Amino acid sequence: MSATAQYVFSVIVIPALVAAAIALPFVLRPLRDRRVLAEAGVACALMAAFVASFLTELGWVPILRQFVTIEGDDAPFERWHRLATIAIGLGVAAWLIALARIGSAGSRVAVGIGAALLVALAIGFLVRFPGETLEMRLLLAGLAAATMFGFAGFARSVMLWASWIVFGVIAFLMGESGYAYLAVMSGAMSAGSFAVGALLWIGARLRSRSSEAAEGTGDGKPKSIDAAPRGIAVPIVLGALASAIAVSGRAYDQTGIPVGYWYCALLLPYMVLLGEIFIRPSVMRRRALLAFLAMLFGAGVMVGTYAWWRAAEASAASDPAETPSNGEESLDGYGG
Amino acid sequence: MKHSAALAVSVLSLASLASFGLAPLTQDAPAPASAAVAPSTITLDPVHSMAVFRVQHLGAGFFWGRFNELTGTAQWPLDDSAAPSFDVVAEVSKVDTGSAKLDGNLQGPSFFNQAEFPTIAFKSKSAKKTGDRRYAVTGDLTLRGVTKSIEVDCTVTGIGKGPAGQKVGFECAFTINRADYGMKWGIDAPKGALGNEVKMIIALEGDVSKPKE
Repeated sequence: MSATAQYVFSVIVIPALVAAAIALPFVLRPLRDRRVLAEAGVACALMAAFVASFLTELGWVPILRQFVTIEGDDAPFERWHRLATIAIGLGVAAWLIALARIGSAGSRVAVGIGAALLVALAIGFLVRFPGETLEMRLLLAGLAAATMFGFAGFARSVMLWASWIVFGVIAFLMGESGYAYLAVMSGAMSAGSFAVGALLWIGARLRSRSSEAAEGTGDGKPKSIDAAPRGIAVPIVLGALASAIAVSGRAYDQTGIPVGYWYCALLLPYMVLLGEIFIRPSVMRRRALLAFLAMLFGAGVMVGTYAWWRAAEASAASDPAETPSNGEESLDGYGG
Repeated sequence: MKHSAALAVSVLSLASLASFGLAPLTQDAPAPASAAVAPSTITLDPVHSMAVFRVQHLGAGFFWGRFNELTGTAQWPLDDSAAPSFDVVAEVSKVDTGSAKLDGNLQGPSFFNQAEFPTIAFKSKSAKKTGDRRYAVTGDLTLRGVTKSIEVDCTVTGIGKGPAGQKVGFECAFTINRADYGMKWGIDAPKGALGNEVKMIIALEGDVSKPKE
């Protein structure tokens, strides 16, 4: 195995497998039908993909350094290291949110919306990034809330395919900006979403087959792919992490990626609305597929326009006529 | 004859007096002929001051990059009667590899993290002469917020005259392990993508200000 393949395996594939392993009891058996546990378990599994990738890259010291003095550690705190701490905090919050939503359907909605807004506000004020002004913090809080509700609007397991695409696009942008660490960590989130989404899909098929076998009406096709309990904890974790990572990427970027790309990546879930407007539901029988294709289309447009913009930039930079002269006259003819 | 003898005695007496009383005083006072010239302040000329660095890529070739427009000062007596001292700053935004994309990558958090640590600084603490106009300078290198003591091999490359006055040039070289400064990406993961050892050569040229009185 080449060094690059080994690296990708250790920082993307293994964290995704960790996420899948954590999610396994919550999406298959034995905890699949316990709504609160399943909701929090899946949210924690997704968070674990990011944390596992972070730990593989940097270890525990950057996280511990934020709370205690470590002997022999002379490196300073870097603001983006806060992301790992926030991810762990979101894992804890997911359990609290899931537990708080035990009750009637009405109170569950109220608690869900309240929790999402509260976490969005916390994200806005806890994430550390260069150029953190009050306006930027409020923007981050707003983006976090918008991303959470964007994810929450999806049918259950489709949310994870959406997360797969959103984090995939963020990883692409991170790679383009040369932010190698967050590129692989976003990649791990994307791969983790895919892995847990695949488990949900398998779980749905198994569930469908077993119920059909019991009823004796089996046609071999799953009735629904929505095997995961609907809840707000998963979209909160996904939305909070996606927005925090994207805003960090934007804040650290030195390659000049247009700001809009970072925010558009977060708002990709809203592409579904366009899909709903322009494609009649009768054309797309399965709304989940429609949602997925709309997001894929949005991601394709983003990557395509970005590649076009980058090529135009490179072309302009290589054109000698476009190269500006510094116009400085030197005293000795050699700049002095 | 008598006068000559008296003069000789007087001179001898004064000489002997000097040997007992005055001589210790003259040893403390610097003799004008051998007095060290006060160090001149040399203000670095950013156009002609730069640092080049090299790092191994994928275990194969070395690629070179540079930091343009170094700023700061050096102190050095032009007669080489004492060692130079340096206070030099490089801005991470001035990194130049010939590829804008690579420059952006190096300025990102995986490497120099310009957004949080915009400058690299070297401040000398001591120096010892190792040859003609050549010194081993010890000082603190601050990179990515980590300060470590390093030894730099510095040579005075020349003293010249420009339109604005005297100019002095230095060339300094040192090697660091970038992992010591928290810049670990590409050393172990992905293994061997970029070398740990970074060799730096610093070319400094500055304008001589009036010597300190």
